[in-house]
Amino acid sequence: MLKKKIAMLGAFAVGKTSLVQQYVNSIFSEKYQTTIGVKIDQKVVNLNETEITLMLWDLYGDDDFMKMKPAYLIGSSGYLLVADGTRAETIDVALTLHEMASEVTKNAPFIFLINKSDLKETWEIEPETINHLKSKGWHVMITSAKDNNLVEEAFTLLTQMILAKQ
Amino acid sequence: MAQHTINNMIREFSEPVIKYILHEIPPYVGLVVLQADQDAKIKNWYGPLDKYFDSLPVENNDIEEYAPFLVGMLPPLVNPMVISHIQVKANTYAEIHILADEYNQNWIFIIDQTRQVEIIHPIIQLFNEEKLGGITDKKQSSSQGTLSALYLLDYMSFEKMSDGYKLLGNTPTWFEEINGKLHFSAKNIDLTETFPFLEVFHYEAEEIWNAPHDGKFVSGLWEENKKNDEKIYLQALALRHIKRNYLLIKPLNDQSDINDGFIQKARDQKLTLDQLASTEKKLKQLLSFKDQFVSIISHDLRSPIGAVIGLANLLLSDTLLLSKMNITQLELLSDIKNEMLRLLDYNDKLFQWSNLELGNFRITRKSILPEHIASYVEKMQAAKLRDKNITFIKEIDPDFTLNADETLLGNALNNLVGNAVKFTPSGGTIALTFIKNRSGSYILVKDNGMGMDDETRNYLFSGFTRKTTVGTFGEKGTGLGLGIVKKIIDAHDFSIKVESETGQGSTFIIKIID
Repeated sequence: MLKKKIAMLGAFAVGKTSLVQQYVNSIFSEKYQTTIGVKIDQKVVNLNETEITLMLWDLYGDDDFMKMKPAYLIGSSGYLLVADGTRAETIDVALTLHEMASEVTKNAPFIFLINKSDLKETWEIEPETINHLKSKGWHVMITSAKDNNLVEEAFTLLTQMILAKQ
Repeated sequence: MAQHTINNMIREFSEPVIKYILHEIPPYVGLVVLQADQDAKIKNWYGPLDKYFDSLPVENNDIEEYAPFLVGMLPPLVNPMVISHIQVKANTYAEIHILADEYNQNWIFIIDQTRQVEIIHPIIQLFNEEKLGGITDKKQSSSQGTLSALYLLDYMSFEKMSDGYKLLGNTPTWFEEINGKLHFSAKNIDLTETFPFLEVFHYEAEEIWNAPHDGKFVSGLWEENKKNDEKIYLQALALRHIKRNYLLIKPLNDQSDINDGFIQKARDQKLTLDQLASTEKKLKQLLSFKDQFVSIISHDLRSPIGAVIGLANLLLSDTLLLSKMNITQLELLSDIKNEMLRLLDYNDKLFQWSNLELGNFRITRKSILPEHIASYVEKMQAAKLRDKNITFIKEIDPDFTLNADETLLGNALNNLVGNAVKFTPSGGTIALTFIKNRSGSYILVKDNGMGMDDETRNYLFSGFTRKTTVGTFGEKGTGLGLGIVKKIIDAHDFSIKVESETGQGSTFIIKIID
């Protein structure tokens, strides 16, 4: 069976684990539990009559305490860059991680997710920022792991992009 | 006072100490921190001390008495000093970091190494055996024998072959709790099927495995789920020893260290601080919008209020019209004018206040003669002083110099003297004093009026207040005047305080800072 590694990248507490858990297990927890190290989940999907096992590498959030190791990205077929819509600075962290990821993965496909759309009242990211990201030709999606908004769509689109690049 | 929470402890950390923790201390272990002063007296502590000690420390006791393994180590000979594999208690080993900061405080970080020692111990034994006996087939099998027994210590041991891995010994309990009973073939095991994390670890481990000399490389952590949904954190160790390669996998036994550890707390705190900062930013934005709104409205209200006052003046100067009015009508017309004047004054203060809040002003300092500013204030208040028969005294120290914004400071003093007039009874006295002595330069506005109580003093400079006190002649206030004064004084980097008691008059004291 075809196996593809997808890495989840972003600052801490942006919802990487929640997105994976919503996608794989259809569950969401309000409690923030920081990810230490790496957690790998699998999900088998059927796309265009092709069965693929997605190996979802949920990596610890990048900050001063724990810096992302490029080695964790080796072999990734694609990645999701995750930012938190209620914390504008997480966009910058995602952009820095993107630089690292695009180099290690040799420009593997990715999608920029701005998560926590359920918290629009405390939203900090301006439409101009999103337009700026889109103007680079990137796929940008506003997701909510809590409301299961566009979560499956994001993983499916990335898988399609990975298959298209094969 | 010794503190036991990480939050309180963090406040004690200087920047170099925080940097040291971030860069040198592994984040996932049950960290114990002890703080001792330059005389090696215990000042503070944090973490699961019961791992290493039988009792809690006592503040100001000798740290060497509490932790005998630190005898002779404080202050550290090299800074920082790191000593590994110290037996701190029976069956407990630790790595000790000693860091002296710029305030002569000694910071001792204790990191559990019991597991590492447990693994190193048989390896050292293996090394020694081989050193003693030379490398023989018998010893090779002895080396494998030692590693094979590591499953008893919860390690999973493999020898890396050219075409996969060969399991040494048995599988430990935790492995079965994750994967169930897997029956590995004797060799050619593809471990990445079982632990996909090892895919990336191989890239880093290959360097060790292909090296001409012995060495080891430890992986980061990864998380697995047991069948009962409990989390377990694992770590891999690549080992090259006498041209043979090994892979060991060990669980981190104390999950509470990981889940409730330093990183979780620090990140929780960072999130809370971020939320607070975000809320503060939004509140400031809202306040700014409010001030802009007030500024625009009060500006636009000036013209219509001025027009009504103008019309009232016109009517009051029309002798023909006045002659046709009775006393009540004349009083009503006069009241209209006076109330509109009061409204205009209120509106002006509101405009001034909102602009001060918005920062729409710039201090232009220049040398001012105190006599000028005192005369200006006297002139501005002359009518009211006369109406209430109040004596106004100006006292100016000849050595007094003043470098300030004349318009703004004049406005502030005018507000203070106006306030004094309001609360001073007929026949009273108000003094405006410019004084210079050894402790500095001061401007005092002193009255012998009604004074104020503690509660009034507390909200005095807060700006908007619903509580305004009526003057001795029933004068009404805007509640804005002293708020404006405070803004102006702050903008100059001067300070203001008030001394007052009910019935004893008030003295406002401005300290001038050159």
